[in-house]
Amino acid sequence: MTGLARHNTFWLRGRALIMGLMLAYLPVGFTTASVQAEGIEINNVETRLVENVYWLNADIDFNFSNKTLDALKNGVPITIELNIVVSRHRDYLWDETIATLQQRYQLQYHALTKQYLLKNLNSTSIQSHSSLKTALAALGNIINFPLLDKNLLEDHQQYSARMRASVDVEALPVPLRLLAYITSGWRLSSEWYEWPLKH
Amino acid sequence: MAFKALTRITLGFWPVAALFVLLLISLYLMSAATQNSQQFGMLFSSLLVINLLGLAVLIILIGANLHRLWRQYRNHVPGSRLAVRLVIMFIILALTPVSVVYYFSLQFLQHGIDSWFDVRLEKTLEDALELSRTALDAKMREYRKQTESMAKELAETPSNQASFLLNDLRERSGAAELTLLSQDGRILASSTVNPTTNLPHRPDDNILFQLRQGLTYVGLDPIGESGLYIRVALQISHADPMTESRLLQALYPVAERMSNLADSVQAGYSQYQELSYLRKPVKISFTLTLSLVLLLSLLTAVWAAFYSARRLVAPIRVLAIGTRAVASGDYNRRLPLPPNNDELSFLVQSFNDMTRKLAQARDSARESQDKVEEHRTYLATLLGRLTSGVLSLNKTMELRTANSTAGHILGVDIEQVLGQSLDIICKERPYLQHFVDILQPHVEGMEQEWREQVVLFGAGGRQILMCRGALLPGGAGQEAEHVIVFDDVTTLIQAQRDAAWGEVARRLAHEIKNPLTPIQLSAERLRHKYLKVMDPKDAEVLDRSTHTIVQQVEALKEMVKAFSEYARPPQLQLRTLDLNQLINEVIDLYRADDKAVRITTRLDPSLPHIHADPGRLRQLLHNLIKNGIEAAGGANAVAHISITSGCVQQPGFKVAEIRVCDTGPGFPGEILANIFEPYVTTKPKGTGLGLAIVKKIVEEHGGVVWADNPREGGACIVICFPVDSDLTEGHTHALANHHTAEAGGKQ
Repeated sequence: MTGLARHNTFWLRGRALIMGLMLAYLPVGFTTASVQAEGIEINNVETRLVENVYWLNADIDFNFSNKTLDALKNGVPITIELNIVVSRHRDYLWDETIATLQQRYQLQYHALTKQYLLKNLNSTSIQSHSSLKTALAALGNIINFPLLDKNLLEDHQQYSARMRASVDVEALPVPLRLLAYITSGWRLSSEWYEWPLKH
Repeated sequence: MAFKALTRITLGFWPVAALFVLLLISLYLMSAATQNSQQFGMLFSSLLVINLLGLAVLIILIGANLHRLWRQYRNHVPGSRLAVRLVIMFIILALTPVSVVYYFSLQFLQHGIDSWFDVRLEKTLEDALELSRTALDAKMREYRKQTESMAKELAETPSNQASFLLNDLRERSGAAELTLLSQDGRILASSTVNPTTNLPHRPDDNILFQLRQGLTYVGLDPIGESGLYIRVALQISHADPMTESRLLQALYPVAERMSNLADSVQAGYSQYQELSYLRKPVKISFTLTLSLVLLLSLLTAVWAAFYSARRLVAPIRVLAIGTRAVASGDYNRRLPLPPNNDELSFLVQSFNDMTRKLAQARDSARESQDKVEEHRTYLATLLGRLTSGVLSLNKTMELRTANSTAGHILGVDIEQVLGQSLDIICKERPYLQHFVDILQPHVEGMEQEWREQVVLFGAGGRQILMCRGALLPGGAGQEAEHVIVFDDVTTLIQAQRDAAWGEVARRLAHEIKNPLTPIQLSAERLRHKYLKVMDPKDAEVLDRSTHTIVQQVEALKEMVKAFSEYARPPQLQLRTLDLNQLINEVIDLYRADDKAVRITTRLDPSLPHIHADPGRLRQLLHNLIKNGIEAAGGANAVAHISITSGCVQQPGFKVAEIRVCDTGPGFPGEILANIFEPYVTTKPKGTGLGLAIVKKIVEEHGGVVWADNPREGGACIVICFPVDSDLTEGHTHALANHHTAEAGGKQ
């Protein structure tokens, strides 16, 4: 189960890499992305153990590239993924994956109301925001997200969790997907942010 | 093994056909994904990768084919040039229409996609959106007023009663939700139409900030799945400034019909906007798909070009290889028939038939050649085993065939002279000239059958050959040949002659010698008894008669003794000797006591030693000198005898020659030919065996002797002895051994 999840992420990353390499040589017009502080950055993540459940609070900065913003303005929904992996530290082998969680959000511009709709694809709840800034702030401010039941963890073992936030290129419309793979400014992703899970 | 499998995959038809079909399906799915993102959208990236990999495989296959063809072309493999031409032709045939179609498809694609988008349509949609907003604006203003009045009511109500009032107000106003919030956004009280479903919808920070500034927020919110709502939020202003101000938010549902219409407009506008934005990526995607399809078709066509060229050329290549094999003499190669039953197959079949027939013809030719060879070997063996020499000559005296015995008898290496004319052979070997002289008239005269006896004097000494010739009838187109069979009958004739004379001598000894002694004794007794008693006159007669009888009996005894000697020669004691020294020794005897003889010698100091019996040679010289004295001497005349020795160099062998000449009358012409036969003599005295014994001794030594009357007068006896090559040059003993054996055989 855990192996499968790990394999899946590798497959996705590997596929993205292959696509990038192969399509880089196709004669498609390149557009040089404006270099600015674009990207996703996880500022802080913390977990609290309350009544045998780990609750997660996170603070993530989303700075979308102009291309992404442009697409969003033009009604293209952008899907953001939060991947969280809990693993057990082992001295002599690689760490064992205990659980993988994925939260997916979709951000879309609603032209009629001039609102930004933030949809949680896991729970289908929708929030509307009057500006992109508040929408991204709401997206980046995760409060009291139930992460894990403590019963899944054994005592006297070291556990850690890591999180990554990224824009899901595969969820883009098909024509855009190709461009997203071969041009910069689309494959936005944060580094893995790792923290220990305290008992 | 793995390489073979790989070759089968790269060259086989079905694997590539399967790859082509798979790629086609994959491209179809990709095209569907490009057009309809719902169905295959998730697969797009995978399909793209699969297609690119498939195309890469095709390119590798083509590369392998190209490399193979290039290698064949460079190595001049039969059929490779034709294959190259076919491949180029096929590729051009495929490339031209595909390129044209590709160009126009691209044009259509660009213009087709651009034609979807229209400025008027865009404006219309924007207007529709604006219209929706305007339609909703009226409602929003109405709800604002309503909410403001509700806020006034709430401002006068204490906090603990507010929740009751909220319900009341909500029901009156027709709002879906009324929420009372504190300044920092905490929900104080709330009333909803359907309390079980949703939590109260809290305004976002942006709105809260706006409210805290004292502004009123009126906006249209799409809330969840439940459609559009009009959100009105404002600050409840209190009369008492000490009281903490609160916020009121009211959510009014938009009428369903209106909401649906607005949604529809929103969806249409949004989709159009998205499509418009995606115009360029869509073009790229379609172009990519089209290019992939084109590439697939083109690469498959190129591969098919290689495949078809190979298939077409294969029988031709096989034929070319077969032709080369036949040209180099290999008729056993059978070409594999091509699977198709077409003209090429017929050609290959005919070629196989041809080579089979050629092979049969060659085999039968070889068989008959073998038979001829076998026959020839058989004949050669037969001829080789014959003790007779066999020659065949054509009309121009050219040596056609000869067996080894012929070479052995004639002292010629047959292998060297085969095919040469006898005249040329004789130039190098003059001792054969006599042999040729005798053959020539018979051969040139096309005589049917003839017999001749030839005497040769060559390396092997004197040889008597018995030749029989016959004309071979020539076949069609072949010239007539003469076959000559000859035997070396020297030994045979010698033996016959020896036997004949031996018999004569034995008889003489037996018939004559026995009565001689009684005759002599009787005569002596008569003389002894009656000589004293008879009167002197009779006594003188008796004395003379008995004396004659005794003398003649003595002569007869001498003659019988000579005969015996002639019949039974002592065994030859051969040794190497110097002829000159021997001659001097013999002459010394005559010089010492005989003044009636003058012997002059002219001896060649370079005369080689010969193999001979010195006793027999002394006898020979005595006989000759005596013979000379008897011929030249008498009547007080002084006999002059000259003895000459010399070495005569013949081609291939040497001869020691001795000439003994006298100053006598010479041999009468009528007996010159038979001078060496017994009892042929010109002298009144003598046994008539002197020269016969000379000849016998000479022949025992393998030499020849002949008599001659020189022009300056007198008679001359010439003797030639063969000189062994090993005595002069240290060569083999073969000839000497041969002579020894021959000499032994004659005794």
